[in-house]
This record gives sequence, structure tokens and C-alpha cells, in this order.
Amino acid sequence: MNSESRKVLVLGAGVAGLTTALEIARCGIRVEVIEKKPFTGGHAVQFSCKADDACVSCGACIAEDTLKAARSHPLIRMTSNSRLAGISRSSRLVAAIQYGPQYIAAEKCTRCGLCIQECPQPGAISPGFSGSDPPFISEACLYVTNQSCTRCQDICPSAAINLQHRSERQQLETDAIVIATGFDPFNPIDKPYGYGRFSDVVTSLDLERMLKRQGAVRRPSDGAFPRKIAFVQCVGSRDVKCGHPWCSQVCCASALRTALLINKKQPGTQISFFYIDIQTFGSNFQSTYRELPRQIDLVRAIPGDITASEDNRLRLIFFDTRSRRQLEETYDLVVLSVGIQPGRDAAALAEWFHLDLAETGFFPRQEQKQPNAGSGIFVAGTACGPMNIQETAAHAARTAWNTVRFLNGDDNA
Amino acid sequence: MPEPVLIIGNGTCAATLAGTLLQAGAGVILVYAAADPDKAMKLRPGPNLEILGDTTVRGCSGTAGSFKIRLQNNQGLIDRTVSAIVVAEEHRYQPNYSLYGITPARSVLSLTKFKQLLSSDPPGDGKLNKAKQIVFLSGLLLESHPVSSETVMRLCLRLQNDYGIQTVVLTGNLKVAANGLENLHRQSQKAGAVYVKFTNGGPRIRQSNGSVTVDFEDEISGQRFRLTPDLTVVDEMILPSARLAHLAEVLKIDAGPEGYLQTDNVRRTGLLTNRKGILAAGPARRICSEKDSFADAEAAALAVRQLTSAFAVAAAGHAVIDPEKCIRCLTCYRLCPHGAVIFNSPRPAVVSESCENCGLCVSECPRRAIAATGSEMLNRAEAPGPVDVADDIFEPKVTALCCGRSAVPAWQQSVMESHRQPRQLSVVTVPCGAGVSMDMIYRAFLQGADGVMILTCHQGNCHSEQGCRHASREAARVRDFFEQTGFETERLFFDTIAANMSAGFSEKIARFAATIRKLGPSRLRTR
Repeated sequence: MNSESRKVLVLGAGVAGLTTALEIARCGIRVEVIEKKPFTGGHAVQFSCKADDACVSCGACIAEDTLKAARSHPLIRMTSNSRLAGISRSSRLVAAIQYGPQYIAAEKCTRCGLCIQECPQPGAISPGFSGSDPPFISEACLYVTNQSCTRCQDICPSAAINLQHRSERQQLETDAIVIATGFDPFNPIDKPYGYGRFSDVVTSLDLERMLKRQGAVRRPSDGAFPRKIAFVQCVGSRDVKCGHPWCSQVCCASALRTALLINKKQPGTQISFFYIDIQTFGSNFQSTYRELPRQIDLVRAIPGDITASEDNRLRLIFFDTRSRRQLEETYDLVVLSVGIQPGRDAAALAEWFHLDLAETGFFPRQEQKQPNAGSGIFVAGTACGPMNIQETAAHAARTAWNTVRFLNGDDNA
Repeated sequence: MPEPVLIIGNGTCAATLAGTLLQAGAGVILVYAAADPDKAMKLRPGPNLEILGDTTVRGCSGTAGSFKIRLQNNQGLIDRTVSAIVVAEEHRYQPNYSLYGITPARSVLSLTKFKQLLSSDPPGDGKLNKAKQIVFLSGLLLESHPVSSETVMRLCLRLQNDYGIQTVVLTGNLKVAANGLENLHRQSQKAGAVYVKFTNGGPRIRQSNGSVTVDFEDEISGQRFRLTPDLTVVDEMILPSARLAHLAEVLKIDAGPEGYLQTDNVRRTGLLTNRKGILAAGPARRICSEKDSFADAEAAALAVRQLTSAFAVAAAGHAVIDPEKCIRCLTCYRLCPHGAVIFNSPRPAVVSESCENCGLCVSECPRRAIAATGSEMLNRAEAPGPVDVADDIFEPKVTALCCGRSAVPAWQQSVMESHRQPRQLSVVTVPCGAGVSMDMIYRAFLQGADGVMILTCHQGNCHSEQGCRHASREAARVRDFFEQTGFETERLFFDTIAANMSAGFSEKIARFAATIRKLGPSRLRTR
């Protein structure tokens, strides 16, 4: 088979999917990427930069870079709102894909933002998370509801909007498939921390989005700047009770980088950090770690529960190893560092592709050989378990290499 | 047939890399400095594999696809042409004896020594048969790493299960942030290993006649304990190979603060260094496990494959030196962050394949003899979007010189998110902060700007490493000049930003516009 006709289907347009697609495309092979969400870039593109003036290597901007490169690569076609609907085999793999409506054509959109400004229906057009992604139209759109408005389509200076576009199912012949469906964040609703009950208890992802959108941390309940913030680590990680006997590997780095940034941007904020073991991150961790106690109150304990205090603040109860006593402390805002858990589609995908999931519920991360390498099905990124952005990119490159070798027929598996 | 790939290293990573590249059909030259090959190097020379031991790298010129390499060994100088270079030197380990105030003895071993003891034949050299208790000192006083804690956990599991020896791990923060480590930790605990964690201070460790006594107070119960282990195993600092410093110099690679051949710069994804075609793999780029080395071998094979692909990454343009104007001062040759300027003819020249179009040479050339091709250089755009103020007060003209990698996408997203923008904002795209010159700043003022803001990537995040520093220096020089001439220095402002900081962009630009609004129109505006 000549190189022009070879094709790879990548499921998921997060860091793993985009990197795999780029690396494969850079070898001259066509790649089709489908993403079930209405935007591309995955979780990472929603993350905030943690730098004050010097970069702290959080890697969030890499998602932006990768998305931009993938969007502009001539051999990559990317569609959001689309999902895999079935899989069969002839001489090649045949994927049934449900393409969602592509109201805004990414290749025509110049990101001028006019449609968002002119839309009469609040929330109908969302700007997305990245300058490399077109805005997306939601169910709230008046045209989608009752065809009563075509304002955005009429005014778009580059004729990028087509509200008449419909969802369609297509068969796609492909030579290999890369599963890059990522992870789901742990939902802390069942933990005794009042998430969903107290509006000032937020998850680490809520905090990321808040920082990115507003550039500051405020209490959701009243918009005030919090004076005291608690970060609670390992919510849904290292927790056998909820069936997660693994470390999520990214939360210490992310929470501490965020805490240090808040300290700089909103001076005077008192931050407590509740943890089991602080995990190493960055190449200069020794010095980072030495400096931490000067800026953050490090408490080696996981709080029992969180209750509301009389003045509408949040009360944490924990065992303090310094005094060996049960202590109480009140905070204005509590951030739960939620863990990485297998994506909800993992089990269904595994069944379709006849892959066995690991005990953890993630796809197995075999170190020497990709699972099922002979069948043309590969897995990249956090679908295989927790990893940070840089590691995800490295894992994706590796998956890309295995895929390219498979396509060249020089895999002796 | 492309030229072979040069691998520098002596151990698992280099050997795996060579194997992977050979399998992928590439030719390999494997070079190591030691007199003898490492045990892991089970390779034999063949038609596609040349092995040169006891050999050091003396020089490197040329660019990706065709590097001219000069090697030296006891045969003399050897010249080779290679398509790519991968550095894969192994770690070195430094035992933490002195950190804990003890010295090596029959019953006090480093992790590496202890592993050797276990793998000797018969295992343990008799020492293990009599041992009842072994204490591991791991990550006390200095922070450990998952690569090290994994070794400790595996050893504990094995000692408990196979030898029935009581293992005690005295640790600070237990490092479990790697695949399967939390589970391994639980397994070893189930097998009987005891982990004692210290937060505020550590245990008291004493040594007399070689043997070690450890006293500590359990942090949770407050109970006091004394351990007199049969063997004490001391953890190690994992450090980069001492050879990397020399290689960084010869190959013109930016080394990180710890000495690895990759900086903390997140733009160096995968194995990338600041030079195209030169890669750092496995323990040459960070602390890594053997598994990570295997992974890097595959990533290196991919990168080598992409070198010959027409669909690989290409910069939007490249710099060109005007031979009429060049006075051969070699400023460009010295400054190029990507080693893209060569000097093997009467004049320096830019190798377009290696040039990243950052513009540093363009802005630094004293004769203005260098121009960047590609149309991105001065891409002016009037900012659309909602504007900031009422019509009746002075509305300043603000020009933002924006790095195309960070500030431009941040601005674009900021417009999309309907953040407020100054009414008269012009955004000028520069490929990198390195391309910002004093000329460019003066020009912006002369073309009518009341204020000029320069926005680059954060320090340490620049794709060309020096863009942020360069732009801030140029801004400082112009401000100095403004100060001497009595022109308001506030009209020029330098700041840093990331591509995903849309809210940050509008915040910064609004603050700047407010300052300029107060100052009124610029006296430099052309009439």
C-alpha cells in the first residue's frame, strides 16, 4: 500500500490525540481525529498558566501549541462533536463515525469573534478555550431550537457558519486506530467535603477554569477575594475505599504551582495544603520544596470532613501531627485536588476493540509492547493511566512510532 | 540512503536506542568514552553498526541531516558524517552516606551496592541469611524521586517474601507518582514492610563500629522506637552523567540547571534540544527509569524518521544574510540559539533547515545585513472587538509588539472571549521576542503610537530560549534613551504572557492603556 492511501483514525483530540496525530502526520501519513466534545484540546486546554513572570513548566501552554500545529497540518483532519459508533473489519478497519453538526468551519473561521458579540441568545455561541479552536454553537442557539435566527450566519465575514449543517453517519476505512480518549476527573460529590452543597468548595479543575477565565481567584458564593484557602490533596487518589489505589501524579505539582501563583497575585492570602506525601515535580524540586514552608502552611493530614461555620465559611477538621491533636480551622475557599480516573467510555471501547483493561480500569500500559500491536489498535496518553502533560506528549510520540511501524509492516509482533 | 545516526552513551539507553534504530533500518555509529562497554551493551558491530569505545567527541559542525563529527580515540582523529545525534549517557549515583552522618561499612551499603549484593551468586554473599532486619534510609533530609523509591519498594517486597527479612523504610515524602507505585507500596506493606514517615525533622542516626542505631519518635502515636538493623541501606542522589557538560559545549546544546541536556523549557517536548537533529534521550534529559529509556528509544526512532519527511515541522520562514552588507563580524554565528548559522565559507550563512526564524540575528546584526523571510515579521492588524472607553476623552494609540507563540494567541482568544480591548490597539506579530529590536520600537512610536507594549513568552518558556531576555533588554535600552532625552519612559512597557492567558492579556493591555491615557498624546507622533 502506498503512503498516500494509508490512514490513521485517532479517537480524542486532547494532548495525547493531537500529539499522536501530529507525529504520525509528520511521517507523511494522513490522520483523521474525532473528538466527542464540541471543542478540541482536551482537559489541558482549559488549564491556566501558572507563571507569574518566569515559566514554572506546568506545560499548559503546550496544549495550545499542539492544537495550533495540528489544526494547521495539511495531513490532519479534525472534527469535534463526533464519536465512534461502531467498528468492523474488511481488509482494512472500518469505523462507523457519527459526525456531529459542524456549524462553524474551522478552516474558514478567522476567530474575529463577531458571531459571539452579535448573538442575541446568551450562551448560544461559546468562544471555546483556545485561539486555535473555532467558537462552538450549543443547543441554546435559536436556530437549533426553532430556526428563528440566522444572525451569526448572515454577518460572518468569512462565511464560516452554516447553521443548516446536519449530523451524519459515515463509514471510514482506516489502517490503524489510536485510542486517546483520556481520563475523567474524579467526582467528589460522595466525599464528606460538601462538594455540590457548599458553593465555596471547588475542584482543582473548577479553579483552573476560574483562573483562566478571570485571571484571579474569587469565592464563587460572593465574588470576594478569599483570605484563607485550603487545598485538599488526594481526593479520589491513593484511596482504596473508592477503588483508586493509585497516585494521580499531577495534583501536587498543579496545586502547589497554583498556590504559589495565588500568593504572588493576591498577596496576603493564607494558603494551607493538606497532603499525604508531596510528590516531586520539576527539575529543581529540592529548592522549590525548601522554599515552600515560607509561603504555604503544609499540613500532613487529610481532613475528615468539611462543614459550614456560623459566618458562612468552611470548617475543616483534621489530625495535626505537630500537636498530635484534632484541630479545626476555617477557610474562605476549599480546593479539592481531584484525581484522574478511567474515562467513562473506556470499558465500551475495550469491548469493541477486544482489549482487556487493567485492574485499575485504565488501558494497560505495557512498557515494552503496545497492547494488541498486531491488530492495528493502539492507545496513547492518560487512557493508560495518570500522567502529566509532558509525559502524555512523550507517550503519544511513542504510540505514534508503534503505529507508523505497524503501517510499514515492519512490526514483527 | 540517509547518513547514519550517532548515538553517544554506554548503557541500557544507548543500547536500546541502537537496537531500535537498526531495526528501523537506520545505520548507527555508537560512541562511548569509557574503556570498556557496559554490561547492557550486548551489541556486535555489523554492516549498519559501527561501535567506537574509548572515544570522545571533539567537534561538531553542519546541521540536521548532515552533521560533520570529529571523534578522537587512541587511533587518532576520526571524521564521520551523520544525519542526527542522540545523546544517551547514563546517570551517575551519589550515595547519601554523609547526609545521614554515617560511613559505608560491612553493614552499611548504598542502594546500588545492595542491589549488586542481591544479584550476586549466591545472592547476598551470606549476609542475608543471618539478617533479621534491614533498614532503608530513603528521602530523609533531601527529597527522593519515584525512580529511587520504586527500587526501595521492590527490594522490600522481595526481602519480605523471599527471605522473610523485616524491612523498615524511614522516609520523608514517600514518592509514588509513577505508574503502579502506590500499588507496589501497598503490596510491600501487605508483605510486612513497615514505612515510617517523617515530616518535621527525621530520626536520630548514630554509627559505632560500623553498625547503625536509629532512634525516633513516631509522629502519630508519639511512641519512641530504637532500631539496630543488621543492614542499613542508604539511598542515592541521581545525577546526570559528568560527560554531559562537555557534550553540551561541543554540540552547542543548552543544558538545564541540573546539568541534563534538556532545559526545563516546556517547548522542548519529547527529546528535543535547542538544535534540530540533536536529541537528548533517557537519562541524558532527566531522571528516568529503565522503562523511560525504552520509551525514549522509540521516540528517538520516530524523530529520526521525521528528519527525512517532507511533512515534518518547518518554521514559517528563515533569515537570510545579505553578502553585500555583511562585514563578517560573526555576531550572528555566535548568537544563533539554534546553531543555524555556519561559517565555512568566506562569510557566515544561515542554514534554512535549521533556522527557526526567531529573528535574533536580524535584530542583533550591527550592519543590519540580515533579513527574515516569511511574511509574519510585521503583520499588523487592527484589533476588533468591544472597546474600552467613551468617545469624549483622549483615546491613545497603543501598539503591542507580540510574540506569535504566546501574546498573539492570547490576544486572539481574548477577543473571542469578548474581553475589553483599547479602542486603538494595533497588534504587530513578531515570530519571537528575539526579533524585537530598538529599530522596531522607535518605528512604532514614529508611526503614531502613544504607547508601545512588548509582550513575549515568560522567562524560561521561549522557543528560542533568549527571546524574552533579548526583548526586555532592548526595551530597557530604549527606556534609558527616553529618560536621557526627557521623554516619558512609561510609554514603553515590557511584560510576559502565555498563549493561554486571554484574561491576562486584556488585563495587562488595559492597565497599560490607562497609563498612556493619563499621559496624553505622544510628542513623537508624526504631524
